[in-house]
Amino acid sequence: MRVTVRSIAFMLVVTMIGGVLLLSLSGLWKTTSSKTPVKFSTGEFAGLSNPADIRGSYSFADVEKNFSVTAETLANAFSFDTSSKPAGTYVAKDIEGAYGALVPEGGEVGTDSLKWFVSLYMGIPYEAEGDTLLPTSALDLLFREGKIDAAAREELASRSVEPPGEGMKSPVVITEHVESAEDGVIKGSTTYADVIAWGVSQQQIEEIIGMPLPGKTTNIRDHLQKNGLSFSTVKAQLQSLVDVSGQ
Amino acid sequence: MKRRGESAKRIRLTVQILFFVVVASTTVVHALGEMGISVPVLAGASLHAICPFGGVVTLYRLITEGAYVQKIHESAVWLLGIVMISTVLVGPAFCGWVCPFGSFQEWIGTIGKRLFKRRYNRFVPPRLDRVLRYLRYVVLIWVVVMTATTATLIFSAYDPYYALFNFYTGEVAVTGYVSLGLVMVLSLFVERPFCKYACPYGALLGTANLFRIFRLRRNASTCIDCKACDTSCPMNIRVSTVSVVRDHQCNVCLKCTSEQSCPIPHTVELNSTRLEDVATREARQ
Ligand code: SF4
Repeated sequence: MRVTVRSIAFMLVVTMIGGVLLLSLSGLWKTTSSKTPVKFSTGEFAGLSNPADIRGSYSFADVEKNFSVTAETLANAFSFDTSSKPAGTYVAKDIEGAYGALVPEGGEVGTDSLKWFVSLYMGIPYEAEGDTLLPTSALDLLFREGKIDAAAREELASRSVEPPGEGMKSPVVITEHVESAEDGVIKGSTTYADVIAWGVSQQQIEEIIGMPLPGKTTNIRDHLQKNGLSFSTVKAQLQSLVDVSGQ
Repeated sequence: MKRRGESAKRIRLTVQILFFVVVASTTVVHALGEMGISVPVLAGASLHAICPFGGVVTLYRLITEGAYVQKIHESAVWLLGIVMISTVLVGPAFCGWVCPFGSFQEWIGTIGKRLFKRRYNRFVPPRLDRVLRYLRYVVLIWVVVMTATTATLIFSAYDPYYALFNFYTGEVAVTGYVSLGLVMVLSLFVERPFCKYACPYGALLGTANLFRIFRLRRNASTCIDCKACDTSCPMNIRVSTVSVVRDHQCNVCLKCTSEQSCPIPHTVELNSTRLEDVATREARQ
């Protein structure tokens, strides 16, 4: 049997596009994560989900679904405001956005902190990255609930950071940006997400700073300092764009 | 024959453009979604989600731990299965017809053909070329082993295909841009350089040429030895010297066949039966 150009074209379009359509109709075509971490297959914790597999895209509700830690507990541990936004809707990535400006040089509070907290909460051993820190609120919570003893708390204190103050409890999430009285004024705590929300495009920012954005929720001043750029110069340029777009 | 060749060319180009547009629009819609802009009707997905090679690299983890490697989802594994169907039947037609990065290199190559005419695609010395063609198996092993051990998409930082469809997102590593630039420049001299020397998925699919059900066959008894098939082959395969093309680099573009380059009907064909037997049967009828 001969296969011609026409038959190959037909076969490829039918199998590829037809196959995807069929899978979509039957609900099997999934292009996003099912948010199910791997489970320990052997040992003491066999059958339990492994906190090391928590991803940045996991919401606190996803973590609650897979581990015995409630979203409310996570929000409290990371000092997230649950009065304006339900605890379950925060995602792991938000942690970095909320703590970016507060963390001292060489430290990091982010998804790895969440993995570490969940491990400590569940009593599962976990080797956090060397620069990972936990908020003091997380340590207090672990101690209060009897998950760590005083000695462990003492030891972990050297790897902790103060959580955001009352006024900054909500992390900066670009899609959920809330206008405040301070909007439109670039300060030390302003993130790129703020400037984008004030009408400046990512491309315009990248042209000014001369490099791609590291992540929209990164604090501008910290990022510029890390890269040896002058905050005041860039601030003035960005501010003029913000002012123009706000008119 | 000329007109039939032209229509065969047009059919393949249409399929290539179709898949290029599908992949480009899917990734653009995804990127817009990430920025909070939703596009009606069209569904977006990350490039990782719609690349069947993602299915290959996640297989080990899927089997041993029941989970996917970061950024890879069910869709990639399904695509791997779908591509396997056509690959077992005819060989790596996915590479020659569907893969938008293969098409992209080919389209850049048309500039190289205009610039260098007959010298195009003949710059690499044959002995070196023969060795380099196995480099993609080294890449395949490295990617699969590293992905299995680190559970992250290790190749993504070097992948020119990823860089091409995500260059505007700010998610591409410098190494990705460098390899994309390199492939674009090389494509001016060599046809499909990434497919030939570095593509790990092409390496895997290429092995199907050893056992594909419909094989690329040449009827030696009707062949006039004009070498038109050799000249037309973008992968520099010497079709005129074999009765069955088993070369792991053949991407089933069908340029060498009697439908396009070969001037003698039914002399080079993709067929499940030996062409000599087909000819004898037809003569008897
Ligand atoms: S020209 Fe023929 S041998 Fe060469 S890649 Fe295309 S189908 Fe294969």
